[in-house]
Amino acid sequence: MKICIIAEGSYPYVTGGVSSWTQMLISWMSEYQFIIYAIGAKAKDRGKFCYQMPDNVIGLKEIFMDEAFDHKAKWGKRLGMKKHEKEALENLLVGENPNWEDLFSLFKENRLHSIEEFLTSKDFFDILEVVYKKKYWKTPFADFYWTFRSMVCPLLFIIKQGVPEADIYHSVSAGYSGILGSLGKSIYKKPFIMTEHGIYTREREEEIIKSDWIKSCFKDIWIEYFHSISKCAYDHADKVITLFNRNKEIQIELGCNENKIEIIPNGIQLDTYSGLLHESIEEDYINVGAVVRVVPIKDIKTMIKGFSIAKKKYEKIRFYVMGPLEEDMQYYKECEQLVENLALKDIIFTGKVNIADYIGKMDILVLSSISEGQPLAILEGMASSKPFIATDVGSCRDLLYGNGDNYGEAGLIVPVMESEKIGQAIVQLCKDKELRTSMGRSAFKRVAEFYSKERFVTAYKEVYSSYGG
Amino acid sequence: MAGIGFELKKLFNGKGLIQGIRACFLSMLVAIGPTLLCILMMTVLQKLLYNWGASVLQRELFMATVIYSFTFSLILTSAFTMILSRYISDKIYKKEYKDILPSLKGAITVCILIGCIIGIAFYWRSPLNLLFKLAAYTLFIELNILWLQTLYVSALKDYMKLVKGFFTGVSFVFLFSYILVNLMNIDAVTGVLASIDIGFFIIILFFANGIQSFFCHESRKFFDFLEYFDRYPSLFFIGIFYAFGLYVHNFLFWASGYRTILYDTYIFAPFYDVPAFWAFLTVTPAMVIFVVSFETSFYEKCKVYYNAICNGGLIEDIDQLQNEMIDVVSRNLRNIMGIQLLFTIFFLDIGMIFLPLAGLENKCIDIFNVLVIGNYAFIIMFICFTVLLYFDDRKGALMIVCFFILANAQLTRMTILMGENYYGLGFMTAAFLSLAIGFARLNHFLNNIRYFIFCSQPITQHNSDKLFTWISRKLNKLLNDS
Repeated sequence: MKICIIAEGSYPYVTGGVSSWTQMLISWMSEYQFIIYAIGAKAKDRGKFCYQMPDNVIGLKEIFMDEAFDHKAKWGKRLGMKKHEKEALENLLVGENPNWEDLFSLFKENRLHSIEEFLTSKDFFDILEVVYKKKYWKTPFADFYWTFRSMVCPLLFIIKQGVPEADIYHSVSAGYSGILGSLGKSIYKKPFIMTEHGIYTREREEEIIKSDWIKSCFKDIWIEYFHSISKCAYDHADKVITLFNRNKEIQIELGCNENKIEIIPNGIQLDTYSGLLHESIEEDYINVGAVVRVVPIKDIKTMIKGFSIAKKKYEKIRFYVMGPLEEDMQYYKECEQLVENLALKDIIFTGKVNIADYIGKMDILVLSSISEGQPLAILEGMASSKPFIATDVGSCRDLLYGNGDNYGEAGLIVPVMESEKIGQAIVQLCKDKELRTSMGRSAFKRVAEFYSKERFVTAYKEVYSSYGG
Repeated sequence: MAGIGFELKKLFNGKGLIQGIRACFLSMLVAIGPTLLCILMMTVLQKLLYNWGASVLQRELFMATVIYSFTFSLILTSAFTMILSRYISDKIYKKEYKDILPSLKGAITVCILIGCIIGIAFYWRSPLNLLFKLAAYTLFIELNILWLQTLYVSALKDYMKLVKGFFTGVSFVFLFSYILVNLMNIDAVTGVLASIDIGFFIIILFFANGIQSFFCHESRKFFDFLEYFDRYPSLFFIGIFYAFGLYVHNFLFWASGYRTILYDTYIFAPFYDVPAFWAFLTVTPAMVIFVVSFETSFYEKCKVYYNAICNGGLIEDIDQLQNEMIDVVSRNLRNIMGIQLLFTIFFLDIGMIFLPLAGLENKCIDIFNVLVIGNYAFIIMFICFTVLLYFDDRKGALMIVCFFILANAQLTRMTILMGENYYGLGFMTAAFLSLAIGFARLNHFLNNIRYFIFCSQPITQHNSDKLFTWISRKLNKLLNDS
């Protein structure tokens, strides 16, 4: 049984939620063989992995998006595209659902030598003119032309790369990996499963709205384009898996068939954390920890301000920020500066550490992210019976308050970017040892029931086996 | 470079007959510029040589020297002209004016270097006397410089100054001819040739002065333009093929049984060359109209069109401007074809009357007639080809010149084998076929112009370290270190 795992911009090049999840999935499913199809950003990252590949990985294919733009070609070709192929591309570009099979077939039998040859062909130009006249005739033509050309380039590049043969295609996000999964399904007639951690369309939407390199009149076009790409995966996938209910609702909203969607939450190896010694470093001090990469999306600054507020009301707290600092040194420096400005004492940035060594010594854990899926950091904290303070993003609320179960609260949910609320929550937990213990107990029970490794593995095995694995 | 055309157009706006005649004269002077004046000068000098007692052979030698210098300097510089034009217009577009003048100096250096080798190799084994050879060689080198200068001159506004320069130069030719031959008793042919050297040197100085004062700021990037040989190799081929294509039929006749060899130095086929020369002159009207009227009105439309494309025009606007521009092209093309046709017919008649007086045999007049018609096609083709280059359709332009040179060579060779009755038909057929290709390409290009403009742009720029780029860097470094 060969499963082709398709990952974009994550495993195995960068660390993070999706990457750790992928690594866990592969190593826990040792009876399956995996082929890794990794889409990286830059060709210079080739072979530079952040993870040790498990032994059941039998194949690896790496492609890099920056190579999409790196082809010499003769312009002026007439490719003789068929009418329905042209229509498919036109539909994609005007934001209607294209017939993806026609787009995939463009690259069969080596009809196109290179992407650039296609992009500079008369056929493509004619398509662009049709699209322009249909929908974009109010935008400057040159801008339109360059936008669409650069938009289509990576997509065609991805399709041209093809997919290795496998028994199941499993992409770990929508977007370009979703396209490749759909392509695998279309070529080899094998099942395609997609696990979507964060909602790709929404994430791109946020990026596009914030970006300053896309002219505002083209932002809608880009958003629509990514929407179409995700829609391709939703339509082709035999099963769409997500981690929690809120995401499922968004997927339905984005046009995914509700019956395809299954929720399989993250799983965690309980014994790694449950056996940790519960001892404070100093008896009368409360240790507040955050297991987090120091990057803007985690909103460390708000957390620091929260600490400072708590520190004023409760003297004996020590703060630990545990996680790599190198990813965004500029941001880390700003955080340090903030600590200095607030004259905040007893705060320690540990850098990258083995979490298991520290987590047992913490009394309270905090996560102040602006955006999350289903953070492993919370699951780890819960598995080690710690009360958690987390912002109301992703599935944090479900994790801490439960979704209709009777285990009780495992921590406190605070609004995003409100340091005052974080401060208050910390103080509340500091003052009430009973509450901390009971929350920790609830946390462990909930994790053991719903988020265990066993549950996760069983669920995925079921999925794989229902598709012939 | 339509710079001069614009200045000339202003002249035509002046009222009155005298103004009009003056404008006409100046346009001719600039458009076919040096060529016409030189022919005039040569005719007068021939007459003088006759008066001063030079033999027929000597006069032929004189003509041969001048024609060889002109022809081969034109061919040599044609390797640079297209590249340099592109370089200059790029620099003007990027407003890097200070790099323009150095490129002229660099080009002259390279050209003279190559010219030296060719010139010395050519005259080395010639039995002519050293003084004469030196004068002939100097003329060849001077003409190389002059052709390169004319490229830059067209950017200048104050062309009257240049006209004055030209006249001064030519008057010096006559003055020195008189001094050297009559007063100093130097051999007539050598003396006249040396005077031409002096006169042209003065013209070069005038031009240099004009150019220097126009592009007053100067960088040290003398050999930057060499990189363009790597970047646009097609421009090099377009230039050189065009020049060769123009003369290849003559060269083939030189290789045939009709050749005459003068002093073991110059090979000729006067039987064919003389009618060919006169026939080429008959397209002067088309040339003038092109520079003064076509190029200027077209250039303005072209500029507006490209502006719309680059600066966010909607397709409606672009379409509108595109139609206007295409309209200008086709209207002007029709005009030129009509007017030149009248002139061509006129010259065919005139030729019948005057060429016999100039001593041409009937067979030569037949050749002249055929070639006049051929040149008609040729000049229209040339215009199509220039318009394509305005659109940066190097591929199309190269296609046309390549076809022209090959067809001209092949068909001329065939007609030589077929016999006297067919002489000239090779060039004529080649010209008409190339014109057909030129029309087809222009038509195809204009029908798909947006596609051509957009898709010839690479998504990524490939900066390659090729031979000429490397040479240019080395040379620039060498100069700037010292």
